[in-house]
Amino acid sequence: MSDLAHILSLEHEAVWTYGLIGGAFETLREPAQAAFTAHRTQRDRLLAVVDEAVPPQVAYEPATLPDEAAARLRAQDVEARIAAAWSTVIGATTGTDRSDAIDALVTTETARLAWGGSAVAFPGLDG
Amino acid sequence: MTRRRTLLLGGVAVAGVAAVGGVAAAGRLDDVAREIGIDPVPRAAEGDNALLAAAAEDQARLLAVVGTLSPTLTTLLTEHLEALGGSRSVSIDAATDLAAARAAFADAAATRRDQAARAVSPDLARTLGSVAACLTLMSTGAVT
Repeated sequence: MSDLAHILSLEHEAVWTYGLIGGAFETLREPAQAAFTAHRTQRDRLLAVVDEAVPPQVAYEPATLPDEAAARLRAQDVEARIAAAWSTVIGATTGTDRSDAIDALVTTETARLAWGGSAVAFPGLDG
Repeated sequence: MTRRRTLLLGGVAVAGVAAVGGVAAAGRLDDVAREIGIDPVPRAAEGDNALLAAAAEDQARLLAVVGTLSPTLTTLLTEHLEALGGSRSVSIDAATDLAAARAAFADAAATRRDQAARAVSPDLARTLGSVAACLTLMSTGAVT
Protein backbone atom coordinates (compact mmCIF):
# COMPACT_ATOMS: atom_id res chain seq x y z
CA MET A 1 0.00 0.00 0.00
CA SER A 2 1.38 3.44 -0.89
CA ASP A 3 1.75 6.18 1.71
CA LEU A 4 -1.22 8.08 0.32
CA ALA A 5 -3.34 4.94 0.13
CA HIS A 6 -2.54 4.36 3.80
CA ILE A 7 -3.65 7.91 4.63
CA LEU A 8 -6.82 7.36 2.61
CA SER A 9 -7.61 4.28 4.69
CA LEU A 10 -7.13 6.39 7.82
CA GLU A 11 -9.39 9.09 6.42
CA HIS A 12 -12.09 6.47 5.86
CA GLU A 13 -11.69 5.53 9.51
CA ALA A 14 -11.78 9.18 10.63
CA VAL A 15 -15.02 9.85 8.75
CA TRP A 16 -16.60 6.77 10.34
CA THR A 17 -15.24 7.67 13.79
CA TYR A 18 -16.54 11.23 13.81
CA GLY A 19 -19.91 10.01 12.64
CA LEU A 20 -19.94 7.65 15.58
CA ILE A 21 -18.89 10.35 18.05
CA GLY A 22 -21.34 12.93 16.74
CA GLY A 23 -24.18 10.46 16.83
CA ALA A 24 -23.44 9.22 20.32
CA PHE A 25 -22.65 12.39 22.24
CA GLU A 26 -24.74 15.51 21.83
CA THR A 27 -22.18 17.72 23.58
CA LEU A 28 -19.55 16.66 21.05
CA ARG A 29 -21.83 16.87 18.04
CA GLU A 30 -20.63 20.26 16.82
CA PRO A 31 -16.87 19.56 16.81
CA ALA A 32 -17.52 16.05 15.51
CA GLN A 33 -19.56 17.46 12.64
CA ALA A 34 -16.77 19.87 11.75
CA ALA A 35 -14.18 17.10 11.91
CA PHE A 36 -16.43 14.79 9.88
CA THR A 37 -16.72 17.41 7.14
CA ALA A 38 -12.98 18.15 7.12
CA HIS A 39 -12.03 14.49 6.89
CA ARG A 40 -14.66 13.76 4.27
CA THR A 41 -13.17 16.53 2.14
CA GLN A 42 -9.68 15.16 2.62
CA ARG A 43 -10.90 11.64 1.86
CA ASP A 44 -12.48 12.80 -1.39
CA ARG A 45 -9.29 14.63 -2.38
CA LEU A 46 -7.29 11.47 -1.86
CA LEU A 47 -9.83 9.30 -3.67
CA ALA A 48 -9.24 11.45 -6.72
CA VAL A 49 -5.48 10.85 -6.77
CA VAL A 50 -4.85 7.44 -5.19
CA ASP A 51 -4.79 4.63 -7.73
CA GLU A 52 -5.00 1.66 -5.41
CA ALA A 53 -7.71 3.08 -3.17
CA VAL A 54 -8.86 0.80 -0.40
CA PRO A 55 -12.60 0.76 0.32
CA PRO A 56 -13.86 1.77 3.76
CA GLN A 57 -14.58 -0.90 6.30
CA VAL A 58 -18.09 -1.47 7.58
CA ALA A 59 -16.91 -0.52 11.08
CA TYR A 60 -13.71 0.16 12.98
CA GLU A 61 -12.66 -1.00 16.43
CA PRO A 62 -13.66 -0.01 18.99
CA ALA A 63 -17.12 0.28 17.47
CA THR A 64 -18.67 1.56 20.67
CA LEU A 65 -17.58 4.35 22.98
CA PRO A 66 -18.68 4.20 26.62
CA ASP A 67 -18.39 7.91 27.40
CA GLU A 68 -17.17 11.27 26.20
CA ALA A 69 -13.69 10.73 27.56
CA ALA A 70 -13.37 7.59 25.47
CA ALA A 71 -14.69 9.47 22.46
CA ARG A 72 -12.08 12.19 22.88
CA LEU A 73 -9.32 9.63 23.21
CA ARG A 74 -10.58 7.87 20.09
CA ALA A 75 -10.47 11.15 18.16
CA GLN A 76 -6.95 11.87 19.41
CA ASP A 77 -5.84 8.41 18.39
CA VAL A 78 -7.07 8.65 14.83
CA GLU A 79 -5.59 12.13 14.42
CA ALA A 80 -2.25 10.93 15.81
CA ARG A 81 -2.14 8.05 13.33
CA ILE A 82 -2.93 10.40 10.47
CA ALA A 83 -0.15 12.71 11.67
CA ALA A 84 2.31 9.81 11.71
CA ALA A 85 1.28 8.89 8.18
CA TRP A 86 1.87 12.42 6.92
CA SER A 87 5.26 12.45 8.62
CA THR A 88 6.18 9.46 6.47
CA VAL A 89 5.10 11.39 3.39
CA ILE A 90 7.35 14.30 4.40
CA GLY A 91 10.34 11.98 4.20
CA ALA A 92 9.24 10.37 0.97
CA THR A 93 8.56 13.52 -1.06
CA THR A 94 10.25 16.73 -2.16
CA GLY A 95 9.24 20.25 -3.11
CA THR A 96 5.60 21.25 -3.00
CA ASP A 97 4.48 17.76 -2.04
CA ARG A 98 6.70 17.87 1.05
CA SER A 99 5.42 21.33 1.95
CA ASP A 100 1.83 20.13 1.54
CA ALA A 101 2.58 17.19 3.82
CA ILE A 102 3.86 19.56 6.51
CA ASP A 103 0.64 21.57 6.15
CA ALA A 104 -1.37 18.39 6.59
CA LEU A 105 0.69 17.50 9.65
CA VAL A 106 -0.10 20.89 11.21
CA THR A 107 -3.80 20.44 10.45
CA THR A 108 -4.11 17.02 12.02
CA GLU A 109 -1.97 17.93 15.02
CA THR A 110 -4.17 20.97 15.60
CA ALA A 111 -7.18 18.66 15.58
CA ARG A 112 -5.53 16.24 18.00
CA LEU A 113 -4.89 19.07 20.44
CA ALA A 114 -8.45 20.37 20.03
CA TRP A 115 -9.74 16.95 21.12
CA GLY A 116 -7.72 17.22 24.31
CA GLY A 117 -4.37 15.78 23.32
CA SER A 118 -1.20 16.92 25.05
CA ALA A 119 1.39 18.97 23.23
CA VAL A 120 4.36 17.02 21.90
CA ALA A 121 7.69 18.27 20.62
CA PHE A 122 7.59 16.16 17.48
CA PRO A 123 4.13 15.91 15.91
CA GLY A 124 3.89 12.84 13.74
CA LEU A 125 6.91 11.29 15.40
CA ASP A 126 5.70 11.38 19.01
CA GLY A 127 2.49 9.89 20.25
CA MET B 1 9.15 4.06 23.85
CA THR B 2 7.68 6.76 21.70
CA ARG B 3 9.88 9.38 23.29
CA ARG B 4 12.92 7.18 22.86
CA ARG B 5 12.05 6.69 19.23
CA THR B 6 11.90 10.39 18.62
CA LEU B 7 15.20 11.15 20.26
CA LEU B 8 16.86 8.27 18.53
CA LEU B 9 15.41 9.47 15.27
CA GLY B 10 16.99 12.84 15.91
CA GLY B 11 20.20 11.10 16.80
CA VAL B 12 20.18 9.14 13.59
CA ALA B 13 19.67 12.33 11.65
CA VAL B 14 22.55 14.01 13.44
CA ALA B 15 24.86 11.04 13.16
CA GLY B 16 23.83 10.38 9.58
CA VAL B 17 24.87 13.86 8.62
CA ALA B 18 28.11 13.56 10.57
CA ALA B 19 28.94 10.47 8.55
CA VAL B 20 29.39 12.70 5.53
CA GLY B 21 32.38 14.20 7.24
CA GLY B 22 34.19 10.91 7.28
CA VAL B 23 32.90 9.18 10.38
CA ALA B 24 33.03 5.50 9.49
CA ALA B 25 29.85 4.65 11.33
CA ALA B 26 27.34 4.28 8.54
CA GLY B 27 26.93 0.53 9.07
CA ARG B 28 26.32 1.02 12.77
CA LEU B 29 23.80 3.77 12.02
CA ASP B 30 21.95 1.49 9.67
CA ASP B 31 21.77 -1.08 12.46
CA VAL B 32 20.39 1.53 14.85
CA ALA B 33 17.87 2.69 12.28
CA ARG B 34 16.64 -0.86 11.70
CA GLU B 35 16.47 -1.49 15.43
CA ILE B 36 14.10 1.41 16.00
CA GLY B 37 11.99 0.58 13.01
CA ILE B 38 12.98 3.03 10.31
CA ASP B 39 14.59 2.16 7.04
CA PRO B 40 18.21 3.18 6.70
CA VAL B 41 18.59 6.03 4.26
CA PRO B 42 21.40 7.00 1.92
CA ARG B 43 24.08 9.24 3.35
CA ALA B 44 22.90 12.79 3.59
CA ALA B 45 24.25 15.38 1.24
CA GLU B 46 26.84 17.77 2.59
CA GLY B 47 24.25 20.55 2.62
CA ASP B 48 22.35 18.72 5.35
CA ASN B 49 25.23 19.46 7.72
CA ALA B 50 24.64 23.17 7.33
CA LEU B 51 20.86 22.81 7.63
CA LEU B 52 21.17 20.86 10.83
CA ALA B 53 23.66 23.27 12.36
CA ALA B 54 21.52 26.27 11.44
CA ALA B 55 18.38 24.66 12.82
CA ALA B 56 20.09 23.78 16.10
CA GLU B 57 21.46 27.29 16.47
CA ASP B 58 18.05 28.85 15.85
CA GLN B 59 16.35 26.48 18.29
CA ALA B 60 18.84 27.59 20.94
CA ARG B 61 17.89 31.18 20.19
CA LEU B 62 14.18 30.37 20.58
CA LEU B 63 14.83 28.74 23.92
CA ALA B 64 16.50 31.94 25.07
CA VAL B 65 13.62 34.02 23.71
CA VAL B 66 11.08 32.05 25.75
CA GLY B 67 13.09 32.42 28.93
CA THR B 68 10.77 31.66 31.83
CA LEU B 69 7.54 32.63 30.08
CA SER B 70 6.21 29.08 29.72
CA PRO B 71 7.47 25.81 31.22
CA THR B 72 5.64 23.86 28.50
CA LEU B 73 7.29 25.76 25.68
CA THR B 74 10.66 25.46 27.39
CA THR B 75 10.24 21.69 27.65
CA LEU B 76 9.29 21.29 24.00
CA LEU B 77 12.03 23.59 22.74
CA THR B 78 14.58 21.77 24.87
CA GLU B 79 13.54 18.50 23.27
CA HIS B 80 14.01 20.05 19.85
CA LEU B 81 17.43 21.34 20.78
CA GLU B 82 18.60 18.02 22.18
CA ALA B 83 17.35 16.07 19.17
CA LEU B 84 19.11 18.43 16.79
CA GLY B 85 22.33 18.19 18.76
CA GLY B 86 22.45 21.85 19.79
CA SER B 87 23.44 23.46 23.07
CA ARG B 88 22.14 26.35 25.14
CA SER B 89 24.88 28.75 24.23
CA VAL B 90 22.82 31.74 23.17
CA SER B 91 22.81 34.81 25.39
CA ILE B 92 20.02 37.14 24.37
CA ASP B 93 17.18 38.87 26.20
CA ALA B 94 14.00 36.87 26.65
CA ALA B 95 10.77 38.10 25.08
CA THR B 96 8.71 40.31 27.33
CA ASP B 97 5.53 38.34 26.73
CA LEU B 98 4.13 35.36 24.84
CA ALA B 99 2.86 37.52 21.99
CA ALA B 100 6.40 38.59 21.19
CA ALA B 101 7.60 35.00 21.50
CA ARG B 102 4.86 33.83 19.12
CA ALA B 103 6.13 36.16 16.42
CA ALA B 104 9.55 34.57 16.80
CA PHE B 105 7.96 31.10 16.56
CA ALA B 106 6.19 32.04 13.34
CA ASP B 107 9.44 33.20 11.74
CA ALA B 108 11.28 30.10 12.95
CA ALA B 109 8.51 27.80 11.72
CA ALA B 110 8.83 29.26 8.24
CA THR B 111 12.59 28.82 8.36
CA ARG B 112 12.36 25.25 9.62
CA ARG B 113 9.85 24.45 6.89
CA ASP B 114 12.26 25.81 4.29
CA GLN B 115 15.08 23.77 5.80
CA ALA B 116 12.91 20.67 5.70
CA ALA B 117 12.21 21.34 2.03
CA ARG B 118 15.94 21.51 1.29
CA ALA B 119 16.96 18.48 3.35
CA VAL B 120 18.20 15.50 1.35
CA SER B 121 18.01 12.96 4.16
CA PRO B 122 14.40 11.81 4.55
CA ASP B 123 14.86 11.49 8.30
CA LEU B 124 16.23 15.00 8.59
CA ALA B 125 13.31 16.24 6.49
CA ARG B 126 10.83 14.47 8.79
CA THR B 127 12.51 15.83 11.90
CA LEU B 128 12.66 19.41 10.62
CA GLY B 129 9.12 19.18 9.25
CA SER B 130 7.89 18.00 12.62
CA VAL B 131 9.70 20.84 14.40
CA ALA B 132 8.17 23.27 11.89
CA ALA B 133 4.71 21.91 12.71
CA CYS B 134 5.32 22.25 16.45
CA LEU B 135 6.58 25.82 16.06
CA THR B 136 3.54 26.67 13.93
CA LEU B 137 1.27 25.49 16.73
CA MET B 138 3.28 27.55 19.21
CA SER B 139 2.95 30.59 16.99
CA THR B 140 -0.83 30.30 16.85
CA GLY B 141 -1.21 29.75 20.56
CA ALA B 142 -2.49 26.18 20.14
CA VAL B 143 0.46 25.21 22.34
CA THR B 144 1.30 27.59 25.16
